[in-house]
Amino acid sequence: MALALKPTISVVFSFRDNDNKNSTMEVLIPGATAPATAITFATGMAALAVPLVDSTLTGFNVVIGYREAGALVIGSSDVENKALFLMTAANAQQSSVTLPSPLESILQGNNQDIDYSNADVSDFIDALTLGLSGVQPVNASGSDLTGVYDGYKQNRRSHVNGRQRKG
Amino acid sequence: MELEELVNDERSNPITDDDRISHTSKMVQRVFGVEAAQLGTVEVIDGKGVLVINRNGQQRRLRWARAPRAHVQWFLDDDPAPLRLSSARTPLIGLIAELDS
Repeated sequence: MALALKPTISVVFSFRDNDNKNSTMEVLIPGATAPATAITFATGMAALAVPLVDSTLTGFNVVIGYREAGALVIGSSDVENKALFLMTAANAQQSSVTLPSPLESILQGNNQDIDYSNADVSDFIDALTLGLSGVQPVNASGSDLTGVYDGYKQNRRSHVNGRQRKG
Repeated sequence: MELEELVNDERSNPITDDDRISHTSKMVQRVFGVEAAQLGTVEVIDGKGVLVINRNGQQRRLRWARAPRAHVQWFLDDDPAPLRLSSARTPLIGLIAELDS
């Protein structure tokens, strides 16, 4: 058996809603990124995600996990509602990024599609597709994310603390 | 440092001017197929990355923004109407035509 370095580092952001349900957003960055740089990237990415949601960011994992306990939750939050961003990459493969419990204010008038002209959304997508702190997010193949071709609110089941739900 | 402090430290300015310049440089390269430096210089003006182009003795400012449906729109100087680059054979040809019109 030979162990090999993965091509990507997974940065996983955890969110919780008022029902104590948890959900995550995952962003991949190149495996060669220095851990300190990856943490800088993660804190910046978290700061860009927080203004978009009313769920509570409870932690993120970058090589070494980081968790925060006892964070306040917002009554209207529901992490089973996700903002789903469909991404394109330099290798023409498609991938997605989901952000739990998006605010209605980042949706278009139909209350379904993401409004990319929203300044906070635009900054968030810029960070995903153009980079942040010198780090360019990638897809699972390690190819640069280059654009977003669709985005909308979607309902997906999540996990409840103490009684795991599958699906 | 607790997570909240980390995030709050970053929230004040998670996207730096260097990021803005990098974003606009990458966007110019991806859309027009040439390095931004071949067209002009990228500067941060009013918190946005702007490509400053000197052409025909005039200094022009090329800005970009995302439309509600995600596609990127380009704006020249203070014109609120986006450039119509899709009708040109390539976006670069369309941009040059706009600069020369």
